[in-house]
Amino acid sequence: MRDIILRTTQLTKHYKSFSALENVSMTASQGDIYGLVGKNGAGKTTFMKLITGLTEPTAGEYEIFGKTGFAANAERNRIGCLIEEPAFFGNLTAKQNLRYYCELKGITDRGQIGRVLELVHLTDAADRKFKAFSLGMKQRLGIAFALLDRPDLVVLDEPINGLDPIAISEMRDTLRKLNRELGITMIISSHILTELYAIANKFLFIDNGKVLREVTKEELDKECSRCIILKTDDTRQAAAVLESKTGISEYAVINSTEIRIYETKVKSCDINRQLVLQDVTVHAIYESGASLEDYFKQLVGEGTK
Amino acid sequence: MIRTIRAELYRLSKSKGMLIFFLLIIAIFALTVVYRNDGGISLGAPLDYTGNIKVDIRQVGRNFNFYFLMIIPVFCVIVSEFNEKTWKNTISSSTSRARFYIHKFVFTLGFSIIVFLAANALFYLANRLVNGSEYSSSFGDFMKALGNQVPLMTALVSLFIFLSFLFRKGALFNAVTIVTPILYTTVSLILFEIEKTNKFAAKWLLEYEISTMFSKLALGCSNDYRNAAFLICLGVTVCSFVLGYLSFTKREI
Repeated sequence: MRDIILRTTQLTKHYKSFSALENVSMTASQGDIYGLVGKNGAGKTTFMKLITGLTEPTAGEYEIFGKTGFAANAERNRIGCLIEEPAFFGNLTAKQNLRYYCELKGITDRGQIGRVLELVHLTDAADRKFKAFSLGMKQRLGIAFALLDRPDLVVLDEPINGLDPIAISEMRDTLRKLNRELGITMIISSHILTELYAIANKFLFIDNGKVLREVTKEELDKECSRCIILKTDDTRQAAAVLESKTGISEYAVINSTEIRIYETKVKSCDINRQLVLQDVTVHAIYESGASLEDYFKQLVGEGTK
Repeated sequence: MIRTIRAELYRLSKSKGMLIFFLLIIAIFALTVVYRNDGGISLGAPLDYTGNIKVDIRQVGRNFNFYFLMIIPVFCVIVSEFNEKTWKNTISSSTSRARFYIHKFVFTLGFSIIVFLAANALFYLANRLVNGSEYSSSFGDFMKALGNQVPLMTALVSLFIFLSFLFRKGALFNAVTIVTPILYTTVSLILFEIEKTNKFAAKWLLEYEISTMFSKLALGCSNDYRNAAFLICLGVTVCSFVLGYLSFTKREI
């Protein structure tokens, strides 16, 4: 069983009367690339600020590397972060900025500066001042900073913002490589779902500060694959009918009113007939093959109901 | 703390602001050495002294210049972190807010006081070498005059640090720190005009005005005055430290 790197329990953050995050519970294990998905203002950055100590929770707690409270602070040097926009001293070059943080974090291996700059393809711009960087270059330097002291957990808030398509592809490869070769656990937020889908193995969908769903990539694939969606008041009886009368075994009860049937050979009209014959109320039955975006929209729609 | 010192010294060594800071200090002291007279560049109230006080100690009496000079290291070390939003990098990965505040406070205060003492001591040496004993006091007398100003300098830098953590904006920090002595004197003088009878409050405020304290503590004052000045400095230092800590660690940023 993999070690738990980050676990939050009922994590809540209020800014006066505004609720930025409400009872968020999640678990990220060693080697996970954990995607935080949500609209702007959904609470992704607040969540990241909480776990990195930039703000204090109103309620709930988080556990980093098995430590909570003050003990968790001591584990912060095992985390590399890029929260909101990358921030560095404008009058210093990329190399000088990283050198400053090497001194601050007690990193004696100066070769690490060159290595992380190479990882994010900034070697040629190492001696250029940060204030002269483009948005994409700033973003890459932010990622280089997050990787500077070989962290065990990397927290990246919208890391591909401002990157061109080639840089996005390179960044994706770099993150995958770091995860695969060094076993770095990553928490990455983005509203570009396709990019997140390409690298993450676990997803947390958030909207209005609330968790809509936590799913693994396999579960997400299944939910987004072609299926028959059955809406009913009595999912228990409907499931029993599906198994006994139609022989369907590949299905999932999504919630108290929805069942998804993944078997491709059955027809929705046959299922409907069987359910009606067994006195199961069917509100709707239709075929669906949701894209990632559609899935997210559907989740957000359910969350706001 | 050692890491913070190394990191901040590295960053300050690359800062143009610090270059200007040291050039200004050199200019102030060089004028006094060259012209053998204090106050080549001077700010604040005129010196009030009796007897034959040599030019080096008279120049120490004009150390109110350092009030404005010390805004620069506080700006470079702390305010720039807020201007560039880099404080988040440190807090999110290597330290807590409380440690960040304490490290910044200790480094900035220590750096400022060391520069204050070293700059004045170097001025003493330069003046002694160039102008000889006719224009310079004994090292002991010089250091005594300078040492009396250390609590005041500590209180001022501590106040600046508090203001930097409170405002977290360069323009606001600069405006308030620069305007404060002018505002203080204006309020004191207005009060002086308003108070028709004993003028106690106004006199007290003028007696403990920053440039007056700098000159009196260096050029000579009563024990009562010195004790009261040290007490005020201690109060300002402690209050600034505590308020700065609370404003940074307890407030939402």
